[in-house]
Amino acid sequence: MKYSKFQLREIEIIKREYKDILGDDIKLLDEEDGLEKLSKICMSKLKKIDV
Amino acid sequence: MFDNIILKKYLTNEKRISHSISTAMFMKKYAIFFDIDPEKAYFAGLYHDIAKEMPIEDVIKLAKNFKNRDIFEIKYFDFKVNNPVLLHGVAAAEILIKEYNITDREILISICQHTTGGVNLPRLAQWTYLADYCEPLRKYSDSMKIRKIITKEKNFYKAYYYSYNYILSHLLDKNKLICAEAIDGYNEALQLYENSII
Repeated sequence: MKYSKFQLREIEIIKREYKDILGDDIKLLDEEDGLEKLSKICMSKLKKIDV
Repeated sequence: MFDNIILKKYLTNEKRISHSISTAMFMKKYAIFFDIDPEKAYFAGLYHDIAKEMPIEDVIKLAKNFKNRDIFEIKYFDFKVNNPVLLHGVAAAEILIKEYNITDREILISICQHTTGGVNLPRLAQWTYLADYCEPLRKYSDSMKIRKIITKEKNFYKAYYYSYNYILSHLLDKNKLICAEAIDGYNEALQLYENSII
C-alpha cells in the first residue's frame, strides 16, 4: 500500500511524537505497509494488560 | 484475549485508525504525569472510536443494550438517541463487553463519556475526553494550544477546562445542539481548574 501525502505527514508526526514509545518498531513505519504493521503492534501490546 | 483485527474489524477509515493509534500513544506517553495508569490509558485511546463508522441504528441498539446492563447511568439518554453521534462511545463500550469481555469500570466510563464529558468522572475518563481533542494528529489551532498545556505546562485541569471551552465554543459557532451533560462537565471543569490554581 502506498501512502498518500496526507498519510505520510501523519506517519512523520507519529514517528516524531512517539519515538520513545515505539522504540525499534519505529523502523516499521518506513516500510510500505508500516501503518498496518503499527496497528498490529499496538494491539499486540494490549495482551500485556489485564482488563 | 485480543486478536489483532479488532480495529480493522470496526474501522476502515485510515485517518480514524491513525487517530486511534495516536490517541492511544499520546495518552500513554503523558499518563504518568497525571497519575493515570498508562496501559489503561493506551487501551481507552485505542478503542474509543470503534463504533464511529457503524450505521446509526446499530449504534443506538448497542447503546440501549449497554444502558440495560445498568453498570452506571447513561445520562440524557433520550437526547443522545435523538443525536446518536453522541452514543458511539456507549456503543463501543458494549462491543468491548460483548465481544472482548472487558469489565474494567474506569475504561468503560472513559469510552462511554468521551463524546460529551460529564461530571464526577474518573481521571482516566477526563484524560480520554481531552486527549481525543488534542492528540498530535489533530490540527485545529485550539487543539494545539491544549496540547501545549499538556506537554509543556503539564497542567491537567487547565487543559481539561479548555477542552470543554473550545469544544462548546465550536458547537455554539456552528449553531449545533449541546448535550446538557457537556455543560455540566464544563461547569465542573472550570471549578476544578479554579481550585487547582488557588
